[in-house]
Amino acid sequence: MIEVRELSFAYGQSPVLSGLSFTIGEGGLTALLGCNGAGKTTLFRCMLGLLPGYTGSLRINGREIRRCSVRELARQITWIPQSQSPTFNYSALDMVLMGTTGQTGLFSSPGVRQRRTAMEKLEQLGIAHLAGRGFLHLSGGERQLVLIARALAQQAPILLMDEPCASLDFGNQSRVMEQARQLAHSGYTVIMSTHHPQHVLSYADRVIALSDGRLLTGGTPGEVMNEALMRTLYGIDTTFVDSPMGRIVLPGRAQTD
Amino acid sequence: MRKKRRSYSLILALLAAGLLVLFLISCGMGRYPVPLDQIVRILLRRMGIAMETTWTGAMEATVLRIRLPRIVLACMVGCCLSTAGAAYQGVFQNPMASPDLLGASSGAAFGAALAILLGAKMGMVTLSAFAFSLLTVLLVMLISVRAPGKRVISLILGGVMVSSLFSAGTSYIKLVADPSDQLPEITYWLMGSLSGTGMASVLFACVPMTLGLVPLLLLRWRLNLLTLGDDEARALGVHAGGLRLTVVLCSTLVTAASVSVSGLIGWIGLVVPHLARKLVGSDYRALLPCSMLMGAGFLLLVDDVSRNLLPTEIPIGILTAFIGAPFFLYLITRKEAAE
Repeated sequence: MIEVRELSFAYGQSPVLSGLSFTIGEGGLTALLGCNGAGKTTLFRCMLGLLPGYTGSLRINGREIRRCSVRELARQITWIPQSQSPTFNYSALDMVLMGTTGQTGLFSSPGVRQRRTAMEKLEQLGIAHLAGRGFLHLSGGERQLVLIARALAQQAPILLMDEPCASLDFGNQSRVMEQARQLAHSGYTVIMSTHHPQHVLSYADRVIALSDGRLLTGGTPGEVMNEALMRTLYGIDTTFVDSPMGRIVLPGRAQTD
Repeated sequence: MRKKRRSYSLILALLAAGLLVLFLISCGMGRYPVPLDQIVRILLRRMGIAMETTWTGAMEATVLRIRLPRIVLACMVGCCLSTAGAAYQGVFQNPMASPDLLGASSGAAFGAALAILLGAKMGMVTLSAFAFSLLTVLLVMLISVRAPGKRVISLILGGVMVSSLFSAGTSYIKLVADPSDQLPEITYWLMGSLSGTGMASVLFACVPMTLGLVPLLLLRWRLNLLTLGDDEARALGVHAGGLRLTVVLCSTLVTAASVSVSGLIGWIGLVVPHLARKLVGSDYRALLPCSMLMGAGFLLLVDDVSRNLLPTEIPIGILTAFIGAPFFLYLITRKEAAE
C-alpha cells in the first residue's frame, strides 16, 4: 500500500512534482502515464528513497520513505531500470545474484541459498538458459527479463518498472508486458511508467496520469483513457475503437463518411 | 555454474603456484647465483623448520638480507597497485581509472621531492611521500563534497586539478634543487625503483597495506553493485555513498603505502586489472584475488629484469611501461579480443 499526500519535489529552484496525492493498493498493475518531463522518473526516485528532500508525505505500508534505511527500503520496493549497458560485463546469473545483496551480511558474498533463489527466478521468467551468458551479449528483451529476475530475487513486494518497453522490438514488448501482468496477478504491486497508451489499455489495472508534476487523473483504464486525456497528455488527436480483444487506441481522428 | 566457480579457484590456485615458483627463482637470480634447493632450505630454516646447514654464510646473507626484502616488497607493491586499480575502476565505473586518479601519486611525488630538498634521510622521504599522498586524496575528497552535481565527476575533476597543482609544485622543487645531488635523487625517485630495499621498508608498508587490503577483500562482492551506478546500488539495498568512500579510502591507503616505498610505478594499476578481467571475468569475487596475484607476479618479474638485465639497474617505472605497454597492445589487438 503506497500513500502519497501532497508530495512535492524540486531540483534546486525548478519544481518537478507539485502537490501529488494518490493511493495505490496492494497487487495489480498501475500504469504511470505522462509526456517526457512530466515527473514520472522523479516520482520513482522519490519512492526509492533516492531523493529524500521531498516535501509532503510518501508512505509505504505506513512507513515514511525518507525515514527508512536503504536496506529496509530495499526489502519493500525494488526498481527495474531501463536496460542500459553496464561498464563491465557480468553473467546474467551474477546480475540476478546482485538482487540478493540486501539479504546477506555486509562482508558476505551470495551463498548457496542466494544462488538457488537466483536460478529459480531465472527459471520463472523462462531464461534459465541465459544464466551463464554475459549481460552485454544479451538482446534488449533478454536484458529486461534479467533485470526483472534480479528484482524478484530481491524479494520485495513492490516493483517499479521504468519504461520497460523502451527500445524493445514488438515481440519483446509483449513478452515483457505479459510478464509484468502475470507478476501483478500473482501478488506483486507493479507500478510502471510507460509511453504506450495501448499497453495501458491492454495490461494495466489502474492508471495515474501526470502532467507538469501534477496529478491529471487516476482510475481504471476504462474510466480515464479517452480522447480528451490523450489530447491533454500528448497534444494529438486519437481514436478509441472497441474490438473483441479489448479497446484499441489509434493516433489520428476517425474518418466519418 | 558450480563448474565455473571451480574454474575460478583453479585459476587462482595456478596463479598462486606460479607466484611461489617465481618467488623462489627470483631469490636465486643476481650477480651471485644461489641454487634453488639451497634457497628453499634457507627460507625453511628462516621460518623455523630445522634444516641441516648446507649453504655458505654469503648465500644466506645474499638471500635473506639483500634479495628477500626487495622481492617481498615487489610482490606487495604489485599486489596493492593492482588491487587499488581494480577497485578504482569499479568505483568510478570507468575502465580507464588507475590508482593515481585522485592524485595519490602526484601527492607522493611532491612529498618525496620536498623531503629530499630539505635534506631528509631515506626514511623521512618515505614518510613524507606517504603523508602527502594521503593528504592530496583527502583534499580532493573534501573539494568534491563541496562541489554540486554528480559526486563521481567532481571527484575525478578535483583529482585532475589537484594532481596538476602538486605536479607543478614538484617541478618547482626540481628547479630549485641542488643539481649535483638533490636533483638526480628526486629524478631517480620519480622514476620508481625498488633498489636498496631493506626490511624497514617492508615493515613500514605492510601495516597500511594490510589495513587497506583486508576491507577491500571483504567488500569485494559489493564492489560489483557500485559498478551499476549509485541509484541502482541503493535500490538493491546497498549504501552506495558510504561504500564508495570506504573503498576509495582503502585503495588510497594501499596506493600511498606502495608509492611511498617504491616511487612512481605507473601502468600496472591500470593494466593488470584488465588482464585479470580477461582471465576470470568482471565479478570482483574472483577479480580482486586474481588482480592481487597477477599484480604481485608481474611486478616481481619486471623487477627481476630491472636488476638483472644490465649491469646497472633500470628504474622499474620505465620498465613496466616498456614491457607492459606492448604486451597490452598485443592483447587488445588480438582477434579474440573483438568478441
